[in-house]
Amino acid sequence: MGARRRRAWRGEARCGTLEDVADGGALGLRMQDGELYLDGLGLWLDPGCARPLAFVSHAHAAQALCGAHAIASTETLALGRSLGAVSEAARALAWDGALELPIARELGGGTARLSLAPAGHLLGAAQLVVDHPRGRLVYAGDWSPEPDGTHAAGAIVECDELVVTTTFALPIFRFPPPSRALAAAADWCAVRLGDDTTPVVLAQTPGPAQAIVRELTSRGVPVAATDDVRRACAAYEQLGVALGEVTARGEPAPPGAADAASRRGRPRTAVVAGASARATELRARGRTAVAYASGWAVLDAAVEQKRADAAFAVADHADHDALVALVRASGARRVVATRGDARVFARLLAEHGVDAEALELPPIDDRGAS
Amino acid sequence: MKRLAAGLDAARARRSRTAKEAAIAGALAAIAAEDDDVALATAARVASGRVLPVGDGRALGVGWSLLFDVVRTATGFDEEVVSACARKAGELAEAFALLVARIDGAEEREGVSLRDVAQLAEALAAEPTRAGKRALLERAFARATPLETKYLCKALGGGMRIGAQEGVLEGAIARAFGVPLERLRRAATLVTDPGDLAVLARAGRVEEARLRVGRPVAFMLATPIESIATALDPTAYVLEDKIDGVRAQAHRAAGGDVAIFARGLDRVTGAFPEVAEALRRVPSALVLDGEIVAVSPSGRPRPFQALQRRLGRAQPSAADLAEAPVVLIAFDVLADASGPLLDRPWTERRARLEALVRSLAPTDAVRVLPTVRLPPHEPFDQALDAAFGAARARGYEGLVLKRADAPYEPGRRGRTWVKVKHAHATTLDVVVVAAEEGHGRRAGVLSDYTFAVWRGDDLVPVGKAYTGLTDDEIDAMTRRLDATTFERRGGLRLVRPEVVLEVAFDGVQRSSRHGSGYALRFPRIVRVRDDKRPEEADRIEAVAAIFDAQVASGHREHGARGGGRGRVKAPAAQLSLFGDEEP
Repeated sequence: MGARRRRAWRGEARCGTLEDVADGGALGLRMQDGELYLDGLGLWLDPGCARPLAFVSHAHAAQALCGAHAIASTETLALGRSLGAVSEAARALAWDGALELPIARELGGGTARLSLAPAGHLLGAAQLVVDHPRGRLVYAGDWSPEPDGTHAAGAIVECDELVVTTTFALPIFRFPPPSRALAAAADWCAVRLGDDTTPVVLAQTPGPAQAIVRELTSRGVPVAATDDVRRACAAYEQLGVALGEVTARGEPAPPGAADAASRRGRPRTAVVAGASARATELRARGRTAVAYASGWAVLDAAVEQKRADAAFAVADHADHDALVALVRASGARRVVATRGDARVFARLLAEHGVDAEALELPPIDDRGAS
Repeated sequence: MKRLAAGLDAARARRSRTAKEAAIAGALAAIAAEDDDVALATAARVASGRVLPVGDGRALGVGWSLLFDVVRTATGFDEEVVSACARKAGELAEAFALLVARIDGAEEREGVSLRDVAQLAEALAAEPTRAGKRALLERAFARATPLETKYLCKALGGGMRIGAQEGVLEGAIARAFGVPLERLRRAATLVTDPGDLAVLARAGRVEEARLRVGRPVAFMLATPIESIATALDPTAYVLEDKIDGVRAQAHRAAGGDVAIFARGLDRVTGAFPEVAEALRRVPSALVLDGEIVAVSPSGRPRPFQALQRRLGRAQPSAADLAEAPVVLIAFDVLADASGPLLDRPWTERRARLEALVRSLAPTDAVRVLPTVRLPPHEPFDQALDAAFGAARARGYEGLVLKRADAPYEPGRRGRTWVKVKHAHATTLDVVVVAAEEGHGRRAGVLSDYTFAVWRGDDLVPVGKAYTGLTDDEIDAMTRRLDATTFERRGGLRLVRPEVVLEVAFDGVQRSSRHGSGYALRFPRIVRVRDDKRPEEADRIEAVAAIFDAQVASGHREHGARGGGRGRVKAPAAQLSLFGDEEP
């Protein structure tokens, strides 16, 4: 399914906007085979498959970790391994480290210095900062402004050229702070449990699913999770992010939770499931209520499509206002919008007086399982 | 409007039909407790996705493009941004509300009252210019909170889309005012406007619901003979030719006003002036049920295609009138000068109908056809076959069998009226749920349609049709389906279930590919049924009945090819909308 969709999008990308980015900026950023490519460094940015040399900003783009040389943060590599998709040649770049790559002669030659900055979004998610003789390019990747307890805030890095992801760039998207959305989701779970109903929260994993697990366990709510969520939780724990105890669905609850309620056969745990889990299947056992926790949950159709009873805008992306703020604060003279509603966002930025262009590509999160 | 919008939004968010009903009922009861009949009627209409009463002849003249302009002004975003937002949300109304929510103080706005909404509807209907309508809308939306914006925009756009199927609003009205559901449903077939119905229910007067000349009642419907499980008593039925036209309910008030309503209860009077003129010449009040059909100079019915140029046209041109003259072939009379006749037996209604039509000139565009009875001593099937053949030879589609002793039951589809359309195969009314571009000459247009029938409150696919439409019709479908696409899956577009097609086919087979467990063999589109709402499409039971009839007649065997009902794949409705979000 993933491969088929990707092919379709490549088709769209090819007839897209290569001409719109006339110069490709200082390092020759362009679209190549439907992927983002820094021509000057021979470096692919979050490609959808293995490439000779690739930067992988976060674990949702882990497919690219199979390539000959992949560069990523330590955490992204570790999460990638837990998802089972990392080649031997993949290299971790330390948060305080740097890597030098030669710049192609046609683009002026010399050396570029590559380093990382936190992107928010997901544990280990990194922005790529490229310092070169003519300035600085930042590939922000999937970026979010605020921490959610499992990842840091996204940094704002001053630069000349900024590449931003526009998954939620339309002005209809406005997200509350993650802390508030997570608290609302946890409150909802608590109310359902009190009502003898098993709460099930659908959320992307790794990502918001782990933030929800952490929020629930920190309040003492016992949590069970589907296998995909538990695998990622284990990887988080190994990386030093404490999420608390998570049982498998159907296993007995931890000893502390075996209280009077559970002896009466009442639901004892909240369930956290990956966003692709089918609500209808999760409802199979007993009284169940399903919530969808995602940036998409601000849209009725998305909630309806998940057949969910409740929706929480637990977003791991910047919304429209946060993206505009990022662009302004970065001081970038040139902005490339990509992966989402790039064209519309570039147009809106242009109205704000920012020189912005669009490279139309599908969001990384839409790639589906590889 | 605040209370109503909150109730409708709660109904949208609830999954079960009962919970949806309860949410709407709560809002209606709260409105009834503190507001007048106008407010309550408006609330019930908005909840049904409209602002004018059902059967009201006036048009709002508020199209998508006008609403679009209003959204641009109200939010300050340009066309490209608003369209991208509407595409992403799948609906203009929701995008509008989300964009309004960005405006400082929007949540604290005073709001629009239900009385404001009623006045807005009246003012829009009375305002002839687009600019004037736009100003009215802009004034109203400037006061609306984001949630009010969403539901007012939906109602003006003509659809709620809160997952509330037909009957949920009736259930809500019954619950809000403590009326037994069966009584309310019966009243609803006579008082088809939800606003009037809610007002009657509040007053505890649903028993007084009665046909009123000028207001449409629900049409009585016929059941396909394939779906009739037990034998009919041939002596109890009369036979009428089944006319392949547009079903119409024609009202002539005592004062001379004429209104013609189509199946969807929309007023189509202006489209058929020759029929309206003939009705005006009738000396007294009456309500006729019949079928409008194009006729040749000799008076023979012409195929449905001949009627096409008269459809979808509010006012036909002189050329249309000359080239495709129509007549109303009346087959029932629901009221006359003496009052409603619904409870009278068919035989009595028929006698009155014939007397009425005799009073018209033979050239008039209102006619009746003769009826026949089956010869009592012949075997039923044989006699029916002969009558069917004769009807086909006269140029009609088939037969309708009607119980001679039965009353007219609005909205009812039962054994009282039974239709016979084809000797073996038949057609079904199906809803388009997905579309794809064709190949070759049909590349770039949406020419392949996946269609579905109802199973409970869900639509389940039963096949895919590629043929039967002209190039012009395909172009029109492409535009419609483009506008209703809510998800793209590569080349496949999932579309909101709004278009009803009548499809012919060669039979039904078991299928593991379609969510329904059945597939139609060689389906082809007979026509687009714009006169039918998606809720009126056929149900899976009809498909199953055809399959079982085939089995019974030896045309097909029970065994499933590639998996039976128990191993059915997920229907299209469960395809993921926003990607699987998995790495």
